[in-house]
Amino acid sequence: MKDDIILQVENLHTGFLVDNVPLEAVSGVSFSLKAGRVLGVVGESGCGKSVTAHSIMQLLPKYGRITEGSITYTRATGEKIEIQKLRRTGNQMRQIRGKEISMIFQDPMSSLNPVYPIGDQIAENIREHEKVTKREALDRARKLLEDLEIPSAAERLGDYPHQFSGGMKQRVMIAIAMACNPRILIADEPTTALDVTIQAQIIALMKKLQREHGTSIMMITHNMGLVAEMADEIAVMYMGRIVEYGSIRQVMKSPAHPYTQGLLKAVPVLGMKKDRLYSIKGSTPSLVDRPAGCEFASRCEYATEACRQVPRAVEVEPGHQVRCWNYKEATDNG
Amino acid sequence: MKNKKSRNTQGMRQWKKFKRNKMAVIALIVLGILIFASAFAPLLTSYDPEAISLTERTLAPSKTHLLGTDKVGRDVFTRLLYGGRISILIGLTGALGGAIIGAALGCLGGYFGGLLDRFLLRLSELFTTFPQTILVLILVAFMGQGVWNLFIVFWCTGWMGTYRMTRAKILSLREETYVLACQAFGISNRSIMFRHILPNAAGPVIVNITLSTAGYVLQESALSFLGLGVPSSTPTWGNIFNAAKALDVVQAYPWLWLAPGIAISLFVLSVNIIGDGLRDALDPNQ
Repeated sequence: MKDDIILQVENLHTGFLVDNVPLEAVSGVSFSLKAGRVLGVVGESGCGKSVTAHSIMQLLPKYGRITEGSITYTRATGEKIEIQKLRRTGNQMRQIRGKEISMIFQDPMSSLNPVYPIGDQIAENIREHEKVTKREALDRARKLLEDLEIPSAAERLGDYPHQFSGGMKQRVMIAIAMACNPRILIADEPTTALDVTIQAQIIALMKKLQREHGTSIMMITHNMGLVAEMADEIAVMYMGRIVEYGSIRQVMKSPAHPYTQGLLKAVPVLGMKKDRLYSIKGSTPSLVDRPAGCEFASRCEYATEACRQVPRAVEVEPGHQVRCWNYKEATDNG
Repeated sequence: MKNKKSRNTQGMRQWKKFKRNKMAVIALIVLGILIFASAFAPLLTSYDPEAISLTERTLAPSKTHLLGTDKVGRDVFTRLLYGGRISILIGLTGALGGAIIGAALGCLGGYFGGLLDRFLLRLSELFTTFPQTILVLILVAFMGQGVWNLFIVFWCTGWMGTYRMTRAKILSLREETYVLACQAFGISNRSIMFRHILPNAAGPVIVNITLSTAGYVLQESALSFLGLGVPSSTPTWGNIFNAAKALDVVQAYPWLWLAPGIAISLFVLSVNIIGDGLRDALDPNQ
């Protein structure tokens, strides 16, 4: 059971129609999420992390389309569902959302409806997917809030979102997302909008829930420290592609892609003596005129003639893949 | 049990907020009296609102006739009470009906967009560009006089304001993260539209309902005044006011038009003030 793959993404391409010109935000992403594991997806803003998550949930904006590839979700019964084939607003998709795959968002301030007490909002999600009375749903909502360590949960059920602090709101969001015990939780930068001490609390809570319920989590973030703490596996994304993919130990210990190395070098370490943090030179190319070949070549120290071709994913060691022509050189110097 | 308590306190909080607005409370009392008096008219007066008494024409207010009698000897106070029933009913149902149609169409158009939205927008523009009074006149001319016909006329001509307001509000609200969150939790489109987005747009809609309630009472009066509203045998505030068409009434019998005038003004004012108070009390962001 432990290593069963419950979500398999294969060669996913997602594009947007901007002024009738298709732009590819995700080009050929493949990864798998195993039952009860945490997959960290790291990368800078605009690299396609969120678009990947939204593709899985079929929550892309109007002009977004999955153009190629497949997303296969395996039910607890073993039934396989190809999510990209479902109608976006169809019943089947709605049954999966919230019940089987749930999501929490970056900004807890705006992801709760300001006109309803939070108890109602949690209960609504339960009642949407399960046949329970309002009272039972509210009772479960109270239990969830207690699990998430919200003080005097019973009284707070009737409170409105504006009566909560940011960290508390994010807990409420987690409560709504976890209300129906989803098998997969997609967390889209769940702590980015919170301050550091609250971040640690939220992460601790998510770990606790994950342990207790065996939920698989897809954690999207640009915080390397967070990934190191939570994830079992990590996928590093750059310009819509996964450039490095492997277990957390493999990637953190011996990063093979120059971009991953750059990201890790840019993390501040307590007590470091350098005046300035390392930064990757140059800036991300625009999606509109995507460079031919390896997108990172223009910023890469190890770039050679070979980089004019898009690199294929190579296996460095079992389970550790990298998309770079010169990864050997990079690993030796990095 | 605890849940129930917290839900009560929530309603209590809104009631407390409303109570703090003194004007709104007074308006609520006035409105209550008006509605109560109309509803229980037979208990408050022994006269028949349509009984004509040629011996008691145009009597000034006295103990037997509190607000005097009109030109055919009908008791004005009695007619005012019975007339309130229909006037208030027309005002409230006209406004509510228009608002419900407008809000529902605005929700649909604003949320789904596309062809449906464009069609509804054009339809509302068509209705708006046509002068409303003339539209009402035409419809009444086609359908004849009568309370039900007035309802239909008001519903057909009164939904555009609410529709545009709701649509505009929903266009911006549907981009909010909580709408995306609702979708991510598998909540149905209908529920997102009407249960999640619409209440956020409710403030202006409620105010609009109260404003147009007043408007419809006035419009009913105006149409009745022109002889196009409710048949003149049925007492409504507008029909009573109708008496002021004659110059001698304006000059010699002020009680005939002053009484319905004051009743209309009181009703309209109190409904507007209550609307203001409600908007403030229901807004959870305040």
